[in-house]
Amino acid sequence: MMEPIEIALVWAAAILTLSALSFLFKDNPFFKFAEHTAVGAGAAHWVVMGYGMIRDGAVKPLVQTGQLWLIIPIILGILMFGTYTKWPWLSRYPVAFLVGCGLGVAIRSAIEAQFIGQIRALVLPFVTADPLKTINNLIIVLGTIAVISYFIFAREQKGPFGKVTEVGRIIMMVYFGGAFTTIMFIYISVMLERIAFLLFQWLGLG
Amino acid sequence: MMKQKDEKNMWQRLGDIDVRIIWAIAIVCLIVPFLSPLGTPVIVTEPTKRFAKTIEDLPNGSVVVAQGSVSVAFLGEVFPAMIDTFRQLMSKDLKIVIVSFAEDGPITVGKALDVVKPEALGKKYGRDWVWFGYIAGLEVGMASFAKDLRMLANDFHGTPIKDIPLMQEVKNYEDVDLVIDFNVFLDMCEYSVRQWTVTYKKPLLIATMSSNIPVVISYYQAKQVLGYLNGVRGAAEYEAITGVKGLGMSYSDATAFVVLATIAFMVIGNISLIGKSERRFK
Repeated sequence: MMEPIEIALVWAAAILTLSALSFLFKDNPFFKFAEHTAVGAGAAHWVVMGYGMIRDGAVKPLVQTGQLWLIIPIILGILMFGTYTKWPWLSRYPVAFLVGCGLGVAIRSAIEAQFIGQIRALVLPFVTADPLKTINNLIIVLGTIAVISYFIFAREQKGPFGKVTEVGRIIMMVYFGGAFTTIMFIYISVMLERIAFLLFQWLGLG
Repeated sequence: MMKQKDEKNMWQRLGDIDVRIIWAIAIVCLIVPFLSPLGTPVIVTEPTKRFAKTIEDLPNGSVVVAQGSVSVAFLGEVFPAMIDTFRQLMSKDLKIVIVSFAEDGPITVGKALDVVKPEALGKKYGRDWVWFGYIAGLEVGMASFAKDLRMLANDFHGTPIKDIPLMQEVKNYEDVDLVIDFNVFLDMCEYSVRQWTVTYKKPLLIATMSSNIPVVISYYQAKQVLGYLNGVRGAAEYEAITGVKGLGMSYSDATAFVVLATIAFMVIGNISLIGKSERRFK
């Protein structure tokens, strides 16, 4: 048995869902209400999450366990607000710190993850016991070479080289088609979740 | 003008169909399989088998970090996989640390935990599993967390770390046996590969949206990801393996139905286009 507050929340969610879906008919005030509510609720949620992170990740460890080094990120965080003051240049220091940290953390493993690891994965046998695997391996290796060739702009794409780049272009087209289809699947799934909510939680069917 | 309209043949008129009628048909196609399940067959793919097997083969007492970074905007796509995986994790003798690197991740994790009900599966909070909520900083946040799993002062409920028994045993990446990343952002998949697999050589599983899979496949081929779940379809395959029917199977039915309708619309649209071109040519 659902609590009254839960019933109220389900009704609120159902009304907002139907309001959002009403845009399929045409733009209307119900849709605008749902749209603005989503934006407002999202912004409020981010503020609360951000506040929680500052409290649990910086202030509490500083006060409770005396990790004095945490004063540095707190000061850098405060400097971000410099952009709203007469000294906007103050915000450049935390931004520089963020960019530097982000790049440093990413680059230390990006070369292995996205370059060396991928090249290693392309060293595949062309002769295997399973004919399907052989065909797969051939498509992967030759397809990758063809696609990479397409991005060689130092040489005119004609003659035998042009044929290879043409194959690369076709493979990319197939990829784009696949990518488009997967995006369609995502929106079907998102819609399914809402339909399931309306049918089962709101209307109580099934 | 009217005369010109009358000259249109059936296919040309179908091409000019009001988009709202298409929406209505699509919604009906989505509703019907929910009310009357079709039971479409599910073919289990190799990455899903490996995903399930990796979890199944974990020795008792292993520590699993579950990164629930699923945005509510795309809840439907990864939520079934999240529920199924949480259920399998919670039904085994594992230690589970749950964390989110997306602001709205805690909402979806909370919803999944409400469905799975770890206590009903014999899991005790603090001893068998712990939930940290949101950690800011994306890749930098993930790197910091891997280095020090006790970086926050308290868990999502406000319990201090020192009062959580599980966190006395689990300190950093060295204590982690498996990482499972639930996300909807391609970047998040790459962060996990870089920060867990490459930096600390930790086994990684990914459950993500279908649109991210073409890129995740490259990490799977490179053995940087041991297995993955491909959105709702992956969840349905996973349910076929575990034998627990859930949202994945229900969604899979409806997806199959609406895909057939989409193909029909595409065929009609193209035939109409051919019809229009021929008319213009004449």
